[in-house]
Amino acid sequence: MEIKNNTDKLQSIIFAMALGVCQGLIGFPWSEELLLQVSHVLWILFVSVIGFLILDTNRISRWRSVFFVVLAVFFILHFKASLIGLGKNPFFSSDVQEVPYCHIAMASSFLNYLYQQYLAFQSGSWKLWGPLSLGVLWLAVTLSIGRAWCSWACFYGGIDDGISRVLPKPLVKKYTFNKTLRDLPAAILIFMTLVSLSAMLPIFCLWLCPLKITTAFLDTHSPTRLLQIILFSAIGISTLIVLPLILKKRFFCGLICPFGAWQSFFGRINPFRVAIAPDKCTQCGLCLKSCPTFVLNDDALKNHTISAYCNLCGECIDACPQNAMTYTLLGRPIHLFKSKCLTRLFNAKTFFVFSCLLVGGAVGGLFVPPRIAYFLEVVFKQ
Amino acid sequence: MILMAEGFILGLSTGPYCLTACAPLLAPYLMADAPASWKTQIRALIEFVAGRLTAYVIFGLTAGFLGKNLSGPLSAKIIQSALIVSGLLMLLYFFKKASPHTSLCAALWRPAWAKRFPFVLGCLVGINICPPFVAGLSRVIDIGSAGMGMLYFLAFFAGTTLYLMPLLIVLPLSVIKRAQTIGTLMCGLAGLWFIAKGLLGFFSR
Ligand code: SF4
Ligand code: SF4
Repeated sequence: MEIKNNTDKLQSIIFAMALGVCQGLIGFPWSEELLLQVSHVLWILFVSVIGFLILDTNRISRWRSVFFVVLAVFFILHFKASLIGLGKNPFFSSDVQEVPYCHIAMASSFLNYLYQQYLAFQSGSWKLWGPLSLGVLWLAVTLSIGRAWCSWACFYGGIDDGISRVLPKPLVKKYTFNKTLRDLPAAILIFMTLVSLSAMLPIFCLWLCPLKITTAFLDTHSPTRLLQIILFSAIGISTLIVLPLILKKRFFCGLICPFGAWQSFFGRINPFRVAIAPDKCTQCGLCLKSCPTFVLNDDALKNHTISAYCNLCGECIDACPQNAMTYTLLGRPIHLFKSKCLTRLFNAKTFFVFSCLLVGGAVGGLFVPPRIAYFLEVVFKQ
Repeated sequence: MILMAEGFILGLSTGPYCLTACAPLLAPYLMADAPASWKTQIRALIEFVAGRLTAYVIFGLTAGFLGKNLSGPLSAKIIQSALIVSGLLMLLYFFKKASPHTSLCAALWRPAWAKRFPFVLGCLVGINICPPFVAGLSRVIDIGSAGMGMLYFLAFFAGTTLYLMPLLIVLPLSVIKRAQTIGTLMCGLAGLWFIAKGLLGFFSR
């Protein structure tokens, strides 16, 4: 058990302040109206407080999940509110919708985008190069946080993360999990990229993705649309709500989402990893039970290896009573300084948490402040 | 000769569609089909291509012979049925790979049947999924001669087959255990997808 003193607290404050300053530097809306600026400051404060709490309490996943759930809630609120504002039904639309620029849709129809880029290149129409700039954005995110996107910055992931935390204990404790199912997202990703190319449509998005609840879906006028709605609602109800609720696991993110698999593959270019210290691990299995995305299993524990599917949520780090699990850079904890005080501030964990909150904060900065501004306006007008 | 050149050029110009149409069935199969050696895998690809050829020749002959009788609802029904059968086969293959020791799987996958799987799949793909095939079919119906129809489809086949070669890149993957598992799961997904597609095709008519 770590004994905290005032120096530790000061370090956490310095960390939070540095985080706040960096957030302000990368996306503050200097030219916008005052209300939006105030909302942005509130958002920056919120993210910084999360950073402070993570460092101060050493409970990484607990505070991460608060941030992550808030991100998802605001994302849903923002999109639903814009649909209502447009005078439309927030759930159904009779217009044929453009496929959203969503990372999940793009990964699972990646070949279509490549083909479109090829056509754009041929036609010389540079306006069609939009997806490329998103590609650059994705690369920047992947280089800075890699697979941690799925636990720190994705505006959907907070849905099943939040629901899996509603009950204090899982309703079903004993069940067998076939570990080959952990490869299902990768199978979905590859298969969907192939059928999407053959149909020239984003098939995962149209047929299976329950996260369309954040936007609006097409009306049910044809049998195909009806079937699509039945399918994605069934997947949504089971993997985003019921199973996370009763088993306390993130079913959608762990076993369905193709972007999770995509990020597991490409996220390897990012150096942050979670590692098990063999000399400290007593094989108690608490980390295995706590892992919400089915990444850890008996073999992993025995061999002290963590698969590429790990999204660095920190749940196992919080759960381990021996402090055997840590964030590392390419498997090594870094000690840049001899001084204990500086080491506490500059190590793999603080670098990692800092990068994640910076990226997650920037993502949230796109939609959280406008909603806060809206609420503030409503409150102060009354 | 001109007719054959036309078929070949149609095949060449529409071949990328053949790749995108065959890949969702063939790629999972090749990935899951382990621990096969390179030779076995390439043989599977050849068998698959031979299956397509057989389907093309039979269809070329029949379409040329029957003329317009094969167009319209009948060919649509054949196409939907072939989709469903391919889906069922992929699903069976998934079960065979996922739980090879259950008695039902063992009964369904007698060795001879299992060996011909790529060929059967090739036949079904040749009939149903490929949009260029439908284009070729309508041309043969116009030609209205069995022999000419067959020659046309042979040339068409040669043109399109070139485009299946990129699928060979899947082969080195299949030695990786994780890739086999992913391939097996993809077979299950392919099964469900093609069955659903076939059924929807029937219902939306
Ligand atoms: S698995 Fe998918 S939905 Fe879940 S956090 Fe990752 S990208 Fe988002
Ligand atoms: S292994 Fe640990 S850090 Fe990785 S996903 Fe599981 S609980 Fe989270």
